Amino acid sequence: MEGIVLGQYIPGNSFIHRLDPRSKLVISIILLWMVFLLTRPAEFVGFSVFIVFSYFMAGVTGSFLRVLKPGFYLILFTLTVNMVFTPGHSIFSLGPVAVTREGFILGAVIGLKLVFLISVSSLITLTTSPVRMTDGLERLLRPLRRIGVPVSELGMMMNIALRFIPTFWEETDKIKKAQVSRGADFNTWNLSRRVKYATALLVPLFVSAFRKSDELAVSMEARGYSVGMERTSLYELEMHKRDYVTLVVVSVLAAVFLWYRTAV
Amino acid sequence: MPIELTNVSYTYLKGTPVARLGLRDVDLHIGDGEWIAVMGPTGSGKSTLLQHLNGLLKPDAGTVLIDNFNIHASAKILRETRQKVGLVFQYPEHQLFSSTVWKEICYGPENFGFSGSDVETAVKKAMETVGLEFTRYKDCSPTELSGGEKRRVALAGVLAANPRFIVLDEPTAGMDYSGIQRIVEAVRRLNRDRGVTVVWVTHDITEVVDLADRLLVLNSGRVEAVGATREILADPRLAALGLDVPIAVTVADGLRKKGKPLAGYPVTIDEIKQEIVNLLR
Ligand SMILES: Nc1ncnc2c1ncn2[C@@H]1O[C@H](COP(=O)(O)OP(=O)(O)O)[C@@H](O)[C@H]1O
Ligand SMILES: [Mg+2]
Repeated sequence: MEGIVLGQYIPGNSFIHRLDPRSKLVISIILLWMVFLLTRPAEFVGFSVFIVFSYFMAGVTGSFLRVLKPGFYLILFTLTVNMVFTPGHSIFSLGPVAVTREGFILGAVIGLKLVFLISVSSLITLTTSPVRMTDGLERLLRPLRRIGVPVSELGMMMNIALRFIPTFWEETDKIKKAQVSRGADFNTWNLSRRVKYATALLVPLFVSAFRKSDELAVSMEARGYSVGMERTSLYELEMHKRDYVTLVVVSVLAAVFLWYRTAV
Repeated sequence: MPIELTNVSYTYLKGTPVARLGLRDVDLHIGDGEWIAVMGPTGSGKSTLLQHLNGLLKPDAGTVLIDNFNIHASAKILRETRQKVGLVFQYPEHQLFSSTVWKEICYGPENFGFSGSDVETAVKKAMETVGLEFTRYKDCSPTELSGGEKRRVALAGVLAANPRFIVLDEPTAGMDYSGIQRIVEAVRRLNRDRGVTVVWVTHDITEVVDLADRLLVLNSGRVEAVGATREILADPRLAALGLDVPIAVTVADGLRKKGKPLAGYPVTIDEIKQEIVNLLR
């Protein structure tokens, strides 16, 4: 148990990496919405081509299967349930249960849509660092400040949380090692002992978390941070020509798609 | 040999793009009752080495034998090793979790299956060794103690399991003089009176220069030098490594370069003071 890969971010310098996180968020919302509207085989083919193309463009094709892994069982489950429980013409049977043609198609369609959903949302986490992502979210949600949502404070909280994940991971590792050295066995099957070992892990971890947050609060205050104040950042997000062009292209594609759906 | 490391190599996060070298081809033999001091720049693998001694880390290559058993041969041997080799970490905050000092120190012996009365004797003995008066401290909450007291509680928590080897990772870093002396004194008594073998990682060798039989210097995961403490300290290579060479050694070097005759190889402030006094006579 050493080291974790924080998020899925793969540093890079592709066109997609360089897009402003706001554009990426908006574009992925458009794409996710399109996924729900897909019905015809040609549309599925078109969307797949688009996804594969984007992964190539971002240079993250190597991660494609890895990001799908957590969703694999969900996809498999959906496929199976639909195959078995949809009434229709039976094509073959698995033991006592008959698999229907309709079920197979329905399962495949939903499964494929899941694949699309996962790959679209992963594409932005693969190409955007967590810090830029929170910045982007913060900026997109900024209008909500009008109705009293503390957007920049929420962004700060998210950033701090992200920043401290590796730190607490290391702490956990050290505490675990110290207790194992004193004979703790975190993998025992004995439930009551396991609870005792968990205490020996959680108490020092919480103590450390409280101490760290206290120190952080003091040092932030010492540097003039105060809640509700307007802040500027060192790296201002900036929309470039490529952002506007990409947004326009994707919106036009979506509009054409919609028009064609209503026309045909 | 009680502790025998042969060709031990270890890489953190092996097989990932962020792999880091921990140890490379380390050979080390430690005899019963010996006191070994370990020095090395930050990141040289000192902590990694210590974690191999009680099996927290398993070498990628090479073997760690304790009392002639490969410690990773079975889960049972590994467990026995953890009891035989007490590992004291630098920060007591990483292990103190109980509501009282008494419960805290009981933790080790209880986990290692000591019987009720054995636990009590072991805890009392451990507290006495580190200089924590039993009646005064047993019901204190560890969180309310001073930094130095916390370290002594953590040390007692490890000693209570009656280890034959005790391995300390920078046990005195950031402590004041009297705190350091208490820790050194506790470990000295264990070593002299009970023959406990000591591995002591430090940045300031002067605190144990007369206690450590040998000094091991690590650099980039390799053994740079090992031998009698004072001989190694006289080696001019140490300063080149960016180690915290004792100030007395540096001053003595300077004096020698100026052609001043020195009687010995001073390491502590007192020793260099004596040399200078002799020169001025
Ligand atoms: N848990 C860990 N994960 C990854 N790398 C580590 C870990 N612990 C130590 N390292 C790396 O291993 C090397 C040796 O570290 P360490 O044994 O802690 O050195 P020292 O105790 O001498 O300062 C360093 O380069 C360090 O960054
Ligand atoms: Mg260290």
